[in-house]
Amino acid sequence: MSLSDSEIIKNINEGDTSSFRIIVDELKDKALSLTMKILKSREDSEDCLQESFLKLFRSITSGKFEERSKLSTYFYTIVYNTAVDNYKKLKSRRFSIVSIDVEGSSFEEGDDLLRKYYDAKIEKNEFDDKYDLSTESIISESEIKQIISDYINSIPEQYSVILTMFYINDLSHDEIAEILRLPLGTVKNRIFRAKNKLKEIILKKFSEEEILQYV
Amino acid sequence: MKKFSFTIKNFYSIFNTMPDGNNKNIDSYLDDNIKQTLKSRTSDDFSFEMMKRVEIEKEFAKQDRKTDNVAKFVIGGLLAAMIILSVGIPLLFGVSETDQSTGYFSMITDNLTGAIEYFSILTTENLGIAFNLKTLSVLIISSVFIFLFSKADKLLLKKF
Repeated sequence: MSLSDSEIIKNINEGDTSSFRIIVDELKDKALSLTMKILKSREDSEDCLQESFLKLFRSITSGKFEERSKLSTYFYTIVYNTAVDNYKKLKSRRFSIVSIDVEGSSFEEGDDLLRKYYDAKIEKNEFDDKYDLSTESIISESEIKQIISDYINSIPEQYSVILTMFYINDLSHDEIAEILRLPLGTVKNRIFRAKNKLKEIILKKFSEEEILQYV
Repeated sequence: MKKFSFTIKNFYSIFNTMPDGNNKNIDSYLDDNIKQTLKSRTSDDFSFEMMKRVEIEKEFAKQDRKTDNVAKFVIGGLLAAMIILSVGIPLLFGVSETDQSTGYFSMITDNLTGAIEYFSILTTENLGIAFNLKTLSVLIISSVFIFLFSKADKLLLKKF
């Protein structure tokens, strides 16, 4: 953002809604990545995002946002909480109507998202069988990218949400721990484990030299 | 003629002499690819639709402020009327010698009753409406309800 948080907030409070558009344009894609990891559906994620932006607008105009944290960090907290609330509402609605919608999700019926954040583990061999790890002499970069993409899209949400916050939302370990109300060590550990497991999978299939061709 | 290109990354891949460097390179390669995989894009009209909702929200807030001002005006008016009734009228119509000896607050309560009776006679004579303590209670309770309703309405509008 070219304008500082304070300048944007001042402009919005003076009735200049175009300043709010700066926030929307800056954060919409990054925030969508986060809602998509929780809600899966694009439609639900965009609805959740609109709701979150409105909450942010109200917080700014009512003076509830006191600039104790960065505007983006405050917004991602709203996005995360709104997405979790919407997930709970949608889950109960979907399970009561039809179960086919949730087949794509790794959440099990009756699971609680927050509880799972505490229980999650990437089992040592859980992902190994998923990929053909036999060494091949000819590899393509797209193949490596595909494996990374498959891995990221198949890890439990409690990992992918943290990875999204870290890599896309540019949140620090401390900020993630605060938003998710998790111990700092757990956040660091999950990022490390998720990345390490991916590295392990890739290095089982390809040699360092093969990967470094594409670096 | 085929050009021979010799870049530092090829050097690593051929000789593999810098494991730490390789490790960092692989890490950064994975970081970049994780970022690419995690990225999502909103639909093209997202910002436009969002700003439309923000404008509506702004309009709602304006209406809320108007309702608030009206409610404040009504409540302020009622409070002013009550103060006039309880303090102004007794003072205006004078205080008896005995009242002065019993203290200021008892003077107010005694004179309030007197003032209400006087006001009641006036309204009955001129408007044909009997105005007594019960009427005053009804008015106060009604104004409290109006105030609570406007606040509750505001809260509900914000929630949905």
